[in-house]
Parts: sequence; C-alpha cells; structure tokens
Amino acid sequence: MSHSDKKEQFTKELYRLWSMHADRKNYKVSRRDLIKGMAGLGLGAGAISMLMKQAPLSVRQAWAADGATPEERAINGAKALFDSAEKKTISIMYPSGSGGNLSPFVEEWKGLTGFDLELIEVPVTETHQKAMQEAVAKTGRYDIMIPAPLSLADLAESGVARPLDDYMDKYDPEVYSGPNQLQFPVSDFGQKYKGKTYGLYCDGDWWHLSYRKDKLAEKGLAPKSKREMVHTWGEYDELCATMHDPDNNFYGALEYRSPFWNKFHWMTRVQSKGHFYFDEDMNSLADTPQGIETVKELIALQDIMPAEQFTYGFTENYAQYYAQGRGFCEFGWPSLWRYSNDAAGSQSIIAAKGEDGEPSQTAVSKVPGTMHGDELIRSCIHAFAWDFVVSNYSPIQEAAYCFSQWITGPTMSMRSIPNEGGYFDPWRDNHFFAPSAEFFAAYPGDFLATHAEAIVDAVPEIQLRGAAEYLNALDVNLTAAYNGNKSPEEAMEDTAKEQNRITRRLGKAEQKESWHGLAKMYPEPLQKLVGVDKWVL
Amino acid sequence: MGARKFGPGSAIGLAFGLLFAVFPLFWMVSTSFKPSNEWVTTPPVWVSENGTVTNYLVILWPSVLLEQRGGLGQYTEEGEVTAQRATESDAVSGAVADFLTKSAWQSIRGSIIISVLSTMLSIVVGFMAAIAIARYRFGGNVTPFFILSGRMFPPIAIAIPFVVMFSAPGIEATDSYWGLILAYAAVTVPFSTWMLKSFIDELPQEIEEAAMMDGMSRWEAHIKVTVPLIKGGLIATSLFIFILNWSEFLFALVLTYTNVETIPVKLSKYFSATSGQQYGIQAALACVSIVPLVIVGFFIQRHLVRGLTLGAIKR
Repeated sequence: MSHSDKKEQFTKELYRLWSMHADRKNYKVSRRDLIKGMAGLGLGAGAISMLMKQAPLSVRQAWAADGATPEERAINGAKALFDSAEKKTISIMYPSGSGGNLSPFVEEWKGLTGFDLELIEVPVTETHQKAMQEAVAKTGRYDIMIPAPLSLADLAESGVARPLDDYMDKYDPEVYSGPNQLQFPVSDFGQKYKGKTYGLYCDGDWWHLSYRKDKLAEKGLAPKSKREMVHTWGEYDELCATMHDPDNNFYGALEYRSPFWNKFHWMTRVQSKGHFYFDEDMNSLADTPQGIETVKELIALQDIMPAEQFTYGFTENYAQYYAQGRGFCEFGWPSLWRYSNDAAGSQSIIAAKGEDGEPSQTAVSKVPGTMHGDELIRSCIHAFAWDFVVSNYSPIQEAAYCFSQWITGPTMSMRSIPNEGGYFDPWRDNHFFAPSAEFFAAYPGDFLATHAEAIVDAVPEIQLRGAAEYLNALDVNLTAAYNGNKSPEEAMEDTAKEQNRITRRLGKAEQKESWHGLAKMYPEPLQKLVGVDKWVL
Repeated sequence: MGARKFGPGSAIGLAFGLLFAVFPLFWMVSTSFKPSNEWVTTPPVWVSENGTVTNYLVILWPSVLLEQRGGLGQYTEEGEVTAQRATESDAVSGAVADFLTKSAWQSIRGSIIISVLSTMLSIVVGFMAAIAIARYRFGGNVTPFFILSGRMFPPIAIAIPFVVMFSAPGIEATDSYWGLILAYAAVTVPFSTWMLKSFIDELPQEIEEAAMMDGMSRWEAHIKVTVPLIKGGLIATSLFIFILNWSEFLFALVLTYTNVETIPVKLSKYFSATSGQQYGIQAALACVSIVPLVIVGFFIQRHLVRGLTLGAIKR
C-alpha cells in the first residue's frame, strides 16, 4: 500500500470513527455532518456526566483527584498545577481582623504545594464593595475573595464569582455529604445561588440564645429542656419580663434596637410564623398583619431593655451588659458564647466554671419558635458568615480553589477556627461531633451540640441581587418604628413599598426566579408551612 | 466706628463655640487613653482613671504587646498551642489579637509620602494653570469651569474608572505610591487652580509687566515676582490641598491592595466582626495622624492668616 493510500485510508477511518459521512472525492465534512458530530459529542458527554452523577462514590473517585481527605486532594491538585501555573502566588482578599484564621498557615501551604499566599486585608465593612469593584474593573488582582454569603448573588450575577461545581466534583470538599458535611439548609443558602455553588463556606454564623442559668435557678425556674430556654416567643417574652429586675440594674432582655442590628430580631421572629420576606410573586410581605404584629411585639419588649438599646449593637450589648452580668439573655452569633466564657480574653464576669469544668453561670439555647398545630417551628437567622469565592478573572482559578478547599477542610478548619486573632466559627459536623480538645476549649459547655441541632432551623437573609438595598429598607423603617418616629403600620408599609420598588428596578422576573431558588433553600418545615412546593415561576 | 464691647453674651457665645470645636478633639484624646471596657459606657467615662497607652502600642509598637502575651494562641498540626492564650492581665483580647501582627507605620509613612508629593504636584500644576487663565486668558471663559467640573460629580463616579485605567497593562499604577499621587493631584487640581487664580487676580499685573520690562522672561517674572507676592495664598492653598489628601478615604481604598496604605484606610481596618469598632485604637491613630498637621499649621500660621485674608479687600 502506497503512502497516499495509507493516508486516504487513515482519513476514512477517522471520519468513520467520528460518524461523519465523507464526501466521496475529498472527504470534506458537510455542514450537516458537522452538526451531527457535535450533537453526538454533546449527547455523549451529557450521558457520561449523568452516569457519573449516579455512579457510586468509588467510581467517581477514580475520576477525581487523588487523596483520602479534602485536604490531601487539594494539596495533590495544587502540586500538579504548580509547574504550569501562570502565577505562583495566590492572592486572597480577606476581611480585617480574621488574619488569625489564615496567616499561620501560609508557610505550611507553601511547603506543601509551592504556591505562595498573598493576604490582602480589606476593612471588614468594605469586602462587598471591593469584590464588586473587581467585578467592574476585572483586574485579576484577587484569586480568592472572602465575602459574606449575602454577597453571593451580586457577585454571581456580575460574573466575578466563578461557579465551583466542576472543581467540587473533581476534588470533593465533603461539604454536601459524609461525616464532615455542612448540614442543610446552610449547606445550600450559605454556598449556592441559582443552583450553582459559588462559595466554600467557612464560618457558622447562625444565631443562638445565651442566657443566665444561675439567675433562672435563683428564681426557682428551669429551662424547658437542656437546649431550649423556652419553646415559643410568647414564653420568651413572659420569662424575660419575669427576670427583669431594674432595681438591681439587671435587664430582662438585651435585644438590639440600633440601626443595622435591629432587623435580625424581626427576621428571626417573623419567619417562625410561616412568613417569608416575599410571596410567590416576589411582592414584599413586610406589611402583612404578621409583619406588623411582630414589630409591635418587639416594641413591647423595649420596656425591659436598657436605655442604650437604640445605640448599642451586638458587641456593645455584649461587652457592657451581658458579659458584665447586667442582663438575663442575649441573642447572637457563636462568638457571644465563646467570649462570654473567656474571662481572660474578654473581661467577662459570667465565665465561672463548676467543679465539672462546665460553665456554671451561662447556658446556651436554640432560639424560640412558633407553634403551628402540634409542631414547634423555629427560624434562626443566619447573618454574616464568610465564603471562599474564586475570582473569574484569576489566571490560576483551579489552584485558588484548591487552597480554598484545603483551608476549609475538616482538619484544617478544626485547627484554624480556635486560633486567636480570627473570627471564623464552627460549621462542619466534625467540629460539632468530634472536636479537638482545643476546639472544645474555645466553645465549652453544650454549645457545639446545641449549635449543631440549631442548624436545621437556620434561615437566610435576603440573599438576592440588591440584598443590601432590601435590608436597608427594612432596617431604616424598623429603626423609625422602634424610635417612635413611625407607627408599626407606617413603617412596614414603607418597607414594603421600598422593597417592591427595588424589585421593579432590578427586574421582577429575574428577582422572582432568584427568590424561588432561595425559598427552596429554607428549612423543610418552613417550606412546607408556606407551601413553597406549590410555587410556580 | 467705635470698637464693640466684649460683653458676657459674647463670652458665652465664644465659650460655646470653643466647646463645639474642641470637644471632638478632647473626646478623641480621652478615648485614646481608655482601656477597652471604657470606650462605650453609660454614663460615659470622660477621663479614665485607668489610663493606658495600650492603644498607642497597638498602632505603633504592637510587638511589645505581642511579646508580653507570648505571641498569639495558634495551633500546630499536632494540636499544640504555639503561645499562651490571653491572660487576664492582657490588654488586648484574643478576639482582636490579629491587630498585633502589624503596626500602623506603613500607613503613616504612606500618608506622608502621598499627601506631600501629591500636594506639591497639585500646587505646581494648579499654579501654572492659574497663571495661564488669569494672565493669558487661556481657554477663554470656558476652561476654568471645565477644570472645575472635575469636582462637580461624586468621587465614586470616577473611582472605578481610575481602577480600570490604572490596572491596564503597561500602566499598572494601582497599589503604588505614584498611582495614588497622580490620582490625588488630578482630583485636587481644580481646587488649587481656582484658589490660586483668585490670589493671582488680586495681584496687579503691572508688577509682572514691570519685571519683564526690566529684562525678565515671562517664566522668571512669574516665578521670581508672582510667587513671592502670593506666598501666603500659596501656603493656604497648599495646606487646604494637603488636608484633603491626608484625610481622603475612597481612592486610597479602591486603588490600593498591600504595598501602599494610608491612615484613613488603616483606621477602617480596626474593626472586628467579633468585637466591633476598636474605638480606642482608632482614636489613638487619629491622634497620631493630626500631629503632622498641627506642627505644619503652627509653623505656617503667620502665612496662613495672610493667605486667608489676601484679596479680602476688593481693588
């Protein structure tokens, strides 16, 4: 066979393999053949992808990166990428004050993978703005950004956040399944937007209620159960009033009525009533009877709160009242428990320990809820938290993802969270159920078990595009109602009007689609109560 | 016209005015010496009985505090703690211990370099523009307003375009001293141009013409005659521009990453998601930041008053 015959036969074979009909004379591919071929390829790839999703873990792991743990897979992946990487330093935008969760691991990561780390500190209140600046400027200066989940919608829609699903399939960070997972619903609304994962979660910021168990016992009262001070909001209001002792400078409730902070109380209380932020058609529900009634309940509580309620936020309330033994209970984030039980670090005077080494003055409880028939439904606000987001404009996206998976991995996060000089809090199952001694020392008593139980009740903030505007409308009007500048009815009507205006401006259809996506990431009992499964786009 | 008497009403008014002007300064200095549990209290602590220099140590020499507490409590791979946890005698709690890993010197240095150089650049460019407009009618009546239009929209509207331009390959001016100097000069030139133009307008053109008749070139006449005669105005304008640059936040925030930092940006970083605003530390840095301005103001006050009154009487 001559060389030209061989060449012709080889070409024919290639065309046969690609299922394309060769032109009899010159073997050129017709347009129809090309479309057929591409469609075949697409269908093939789709079928493989579907099969792989259904395949057992062992089969999937054969395709995925090597390594027994998320950390190992991340290290192996980064090592393999190092030589061909366009950039050898991973630049990370991180919120100020959280360096203790990252900087101690820079050298370790470099030694393991070769990649250096550049930590770019940004004022904690400016992380969203800096990330959105990158969305417009597209400089590629950041490989990783650490914004709050509240920013995910804006970052995803603006194109600066890279979807991480393909990397997660490849490296498996073990956040959606297994013994180290992050439980639903935080696993979803803490990391996803419109069905895609845009952030790797790193900070378990859902609320709990810290209270003085010693003071409760002094009154001859007891909590409803080990992890429940009370069951319902009505019981909470009553108990706080009972514990109020102004003659001894001891306040029954330490809630926030100051700008920015106050909305979290309304969001926690109202949603347990089966009342979401918006209805099926994305109309604001702020001015419904439940919305207004909740404001009235919160105003009624103001009588048993300190005069500084209008100016004090979370940290001031904690530092000046709760940790100084001047209040019965306070809602807050995990650091409330951590630092009220850290006499050395935060000058808390309520951090006494019993003979068993357990906190003897304070106890931790899940937030109260609302009875619906026989069922107690809670909605525990999830606010702040942080996510590792890979920039779409980074030249080393996969390496950046690998670092994110490594530092948020079960073992690494167990090491980084208790560090001083940081503020990430427990979030994975292994943090709750298999904590190291150091980890438990930072979150003593029954906190970890209670926080783990409470995750199923966690509800998101308004995590939609324009989140800050929606929340600001609520915040400003609630402040006016608490100060007496507006009646609850006026305040909530104005909130609804403003939120509806924001929706119209951003595009009702698009916002509605996002809202339906978010509503499906609510705790299941709440979804059922509201009837989310019957919603249609 | 007889001098008006300084009566009790004037004294009370003056005292109120003084209180209004000085109280923020007093509060800032007082807070800078308070321990953290006295930053926000009811009733407020006016002057602390437990005064401390810890806030100043955090911004200027944090290594002293770090050494005192034996480093930060951080865990090794084996689960051993690398340093002692905070103790009750520690001035800075573990929650905000990250602030001890870096001082504010980088931001103080950055503010000085950027403010001084950008002010000089702005004054030089503004002076030349003012001469061109006041003496040579350059650009007719339109150009002065065109220059001023740069200050007629909010800075945020041009901040992002600056980032885009400065990030372009070949320019790469973000996170550099010269980038921020250029940006500051660009946004303050309208002020310097207009202020200096008003001072030059007040100066009789005949003086410069006489110098030129005596053999000076135009440049020489402006540099050797005009500049000394409007010295007070130049100094007043320089101080005004310097204060604008010294306290600018937005451009410093968007145009910098790690190499360059200024005091206003550093101030905003003393905020922890756990412990909130670090008022005492912020007050200490604010106190340090006003020192250069006070020193400069003290030495130039004579010229400053002259500059501010220059042109007060219409020719």
